[in-house]
Amino acid sequence: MTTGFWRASLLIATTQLGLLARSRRAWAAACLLLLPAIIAWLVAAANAKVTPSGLSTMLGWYALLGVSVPLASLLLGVAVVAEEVEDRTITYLLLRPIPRAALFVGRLAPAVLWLCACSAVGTALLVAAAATARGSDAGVSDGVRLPLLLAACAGVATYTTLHAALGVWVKHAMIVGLAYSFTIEGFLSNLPGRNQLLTIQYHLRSLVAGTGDDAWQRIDGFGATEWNPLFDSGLVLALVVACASAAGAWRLARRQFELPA
Amino acid sequence: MTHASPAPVVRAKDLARFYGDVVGVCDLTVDIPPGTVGLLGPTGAGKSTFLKLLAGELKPSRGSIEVLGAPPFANPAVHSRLGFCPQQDALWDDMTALEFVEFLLRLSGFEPARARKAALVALERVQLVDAKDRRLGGFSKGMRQRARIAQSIAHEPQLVVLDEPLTGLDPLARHATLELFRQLAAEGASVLFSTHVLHEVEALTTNVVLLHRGRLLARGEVPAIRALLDRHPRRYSIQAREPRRLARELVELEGVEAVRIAEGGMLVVETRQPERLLEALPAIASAARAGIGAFESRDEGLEAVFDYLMGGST
Repeated sequence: MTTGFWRASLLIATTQLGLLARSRRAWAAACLLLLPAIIAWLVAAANAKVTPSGLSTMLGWYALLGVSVPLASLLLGVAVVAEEVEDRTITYLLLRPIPRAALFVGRLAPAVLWLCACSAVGTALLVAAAATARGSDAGVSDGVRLPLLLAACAGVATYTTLHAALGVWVKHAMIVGLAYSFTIEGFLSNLPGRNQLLTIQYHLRSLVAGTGDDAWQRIDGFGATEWNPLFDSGLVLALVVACASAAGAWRLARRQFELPA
Repeated sequence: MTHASPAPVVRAKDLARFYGDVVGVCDLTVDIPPGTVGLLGPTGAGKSTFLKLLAGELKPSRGSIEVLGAPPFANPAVHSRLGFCPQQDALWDDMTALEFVEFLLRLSGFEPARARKAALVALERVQLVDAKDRRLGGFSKGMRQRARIAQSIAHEPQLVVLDEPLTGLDPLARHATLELFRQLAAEGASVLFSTHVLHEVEALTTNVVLLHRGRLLARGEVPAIRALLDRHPRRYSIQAREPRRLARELVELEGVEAVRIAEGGMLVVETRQPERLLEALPAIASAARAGIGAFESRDEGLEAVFDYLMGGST
């Protein structure tokens, strides 16, 4: 008696979701995604000149998309398979009559779902905290709120899948992931020129540029940058998710794990 | 009329597995028949590596292994008929015992109601049913071991493979677990378990596979292995008030190969007929007025015996 891919994925995902809610790592990632909202609240309280839309776009652009989303995804993404290996419980899953790819998908999906939910809450709280700013402008519009939500959710999905695949391919995925986040995503995405196209960050920002309103123009260099069309960036991110999922599942199907007694 | 011997449940041919420069198992060719088989060897003999290869957790570096007629690595067809109890004390600590076994049964293709029923039966069999709703993280070492055994037998596999299943169990649980293995065998399942304690195997089966330093040392029935072990002179330490006088008497005894006085005046006797020594010693000691204070076997460790056998076989 064997279990099919989708059924096994669903079983693992539902069980994993329950375990995730009790995991310290998951709550640490949630805290990272709530951090911009806390900063927004502190800045709004401390600075009388800052405006609601200015505060939400600045913190959304730099803190949420630039720092919280990549780091929270790294934290949870590398653990998708690596956590089971570290805990030495992966044996139970590998030796069941299921396709190994289901293990990857079943563990990845709850992580993405959790981070999307936390991103949605983080974005909502960020906007709410920014709205308390005392500077006068038109307030936080849907043209700020929705693009931020879209980009944050797309960001956690893409980064988490990428890091999950990394966790299956390399031994010290956290170190490699940190190096990637700082050098490629943190550095390259802020350099002028076409090199930005190689970063996920650029495509997330393109989603914001493609759906956002004029409030985003206050960001340094926003108007001077040539953003990708919305559809193209969406396609690139979807391709990254698909390729990383396939690479992770493929590797897991072939990889053996040497677990100490 | 001739009877064809049953097809082996495990067939390894020139099997080797290396961890970098370290040998896990090497050039292992062995057929394991259906029934209960003990995999015996001292620590570091390669038992766990062999069982991991057999369960499909590891791939061979060289050679091949077939379990129930197929290579086990990433093979759902084999895993649906195989139950594996790993040695590592690792469980999902946030799950209850029932959730743990039930979840793995669901992954084995059991429908929810059937999975619940089979999980309860398995927990009953390892005497954990009263603790079924407790989190595994709060379990004692022995209970955790029994939970691991429960998941390996719950789906009624054709072959149950257990890596040091009796480690960490108290005597009562050990007895109950051995009884469980007997029941599984009586129900038609094949049971392959590893241990480094010979008498644990003897309590369950006469069929053993001996590994040492990653190689097959012997395979067969316990009496044959015993005979092999008996080729090794046994050593005994005797503490006596008059060791020299006792040594003079013992050296004349049939089967005694050597007698020497070690540091601290301890008498060390090597004999190929330990029963003869044990039988004659009281009378000899009494006649010699040697005054025996302590007597113990120096060959408790299987490692020493195995080292001797390896030396003898090369």
